[in-house]
Amino acid sequence: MSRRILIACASFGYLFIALFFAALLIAHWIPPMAPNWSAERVAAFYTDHANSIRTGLVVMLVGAVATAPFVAALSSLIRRIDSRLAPLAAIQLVCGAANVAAIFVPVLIFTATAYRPDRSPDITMALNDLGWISLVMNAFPAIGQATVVGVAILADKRPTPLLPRWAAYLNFWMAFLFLPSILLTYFKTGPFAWNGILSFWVAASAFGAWFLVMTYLMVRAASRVDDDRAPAVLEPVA
Amino acid sequence: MTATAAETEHSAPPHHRHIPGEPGLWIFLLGDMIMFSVFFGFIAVLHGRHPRMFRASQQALHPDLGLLNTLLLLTASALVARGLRQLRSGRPARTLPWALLCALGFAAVKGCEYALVIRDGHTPSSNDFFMYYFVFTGIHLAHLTIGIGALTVLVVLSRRRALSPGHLLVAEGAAAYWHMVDLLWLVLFPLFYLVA
Repeated sequence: MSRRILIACASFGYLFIALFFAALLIAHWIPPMAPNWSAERVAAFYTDHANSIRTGLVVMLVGAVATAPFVAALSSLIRRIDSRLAPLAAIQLVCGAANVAAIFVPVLIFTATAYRPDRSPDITMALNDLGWISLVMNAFPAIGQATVVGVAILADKRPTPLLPRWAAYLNFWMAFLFLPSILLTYFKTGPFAWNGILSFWVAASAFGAWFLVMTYLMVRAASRVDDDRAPAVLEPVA
Repeated sequence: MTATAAETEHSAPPHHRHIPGEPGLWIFLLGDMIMFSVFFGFIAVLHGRHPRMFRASQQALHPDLGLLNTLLLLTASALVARGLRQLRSGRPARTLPWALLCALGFAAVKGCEYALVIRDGHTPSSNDFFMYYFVFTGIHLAHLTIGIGALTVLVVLSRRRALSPGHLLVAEGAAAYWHMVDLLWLVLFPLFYLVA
């Protein structure tokens, strides 16, 4: 039974990626709005696309929850590598939970922004800044998550490790690719702005690729774990 | 065990192709180099679009310090290569602590250069040249800092009497990482300091 639950939980990674990128497309956020737009242009964007943005955000909200089973499956697999890796599994769980919040919070901010597009443009611009900054600059939980997953994979000393060792180095590389987004705080144009090649395009592609590769590897690993760990027999209540 | 895998690798005939470190590490190394190639592209495009601004800003850098750093890294790489050869043949690798010293020297010189450039009133927000200069050399410096950790691992390993094949793989991986840090600087240096 545990194997089927693990496979099902891991597979939610595919669902998340489908929902997350569909949401970006529905909301007209690919390519993203630019940080150097005027307040009037930002307000006009929200007026023109109000309902697409609202719908996209609802889809993204559902997607955020879909990461929870994925993260749980990953921690469960880390504990299967070696029960002594339990602290690493816990770090992964905490970072994964923070990632859920890292998607939830910007979604709610954007929803508030799109709620009254006819308000004063300056306020819409401020809310829009808050939304984009929290959506793109939230990389640190993901960096922690990728790093700790990499360490856990390298700790697997068996002849055929549960997750392949190259995946560890892929995780380290991903952690590095997420890093430039923290520079967006300094820039309104160029590669490090929130719509820039390095802050947005590279980081978003890495994020999507990371989820797809990890989901594939986790489903494969889950189908290899032993299925016979029956729950412990409990003493009858006196 | 990785150790057994390494054992078969090393006992293989000499014509056998050996990948330094473990193959998976090269995903990270090549991936990192792809990322830096994108950085190099940005610098080249900036130079192509604003040659005069680029050259004027370039004057504020200190090519002598950049050259000193290039020499420090090349020396470190030579010492690491020599040290690794000695580790492989089971001899004491006394060059490795000097490589570590060169790496620390690079970080110190880079810090001084940043201080000089900032003292002259140039910051990442001055223009796109200084933005790229500070961000890309800063990311390189972060890599170098990890490299200092890798060299420390090498020094610690070299103090052991005998290295297991597993240790040798770790040593090779650390050395491969260090050579990448060196290689990236060898492209960054001419792009920022010398291209005219």
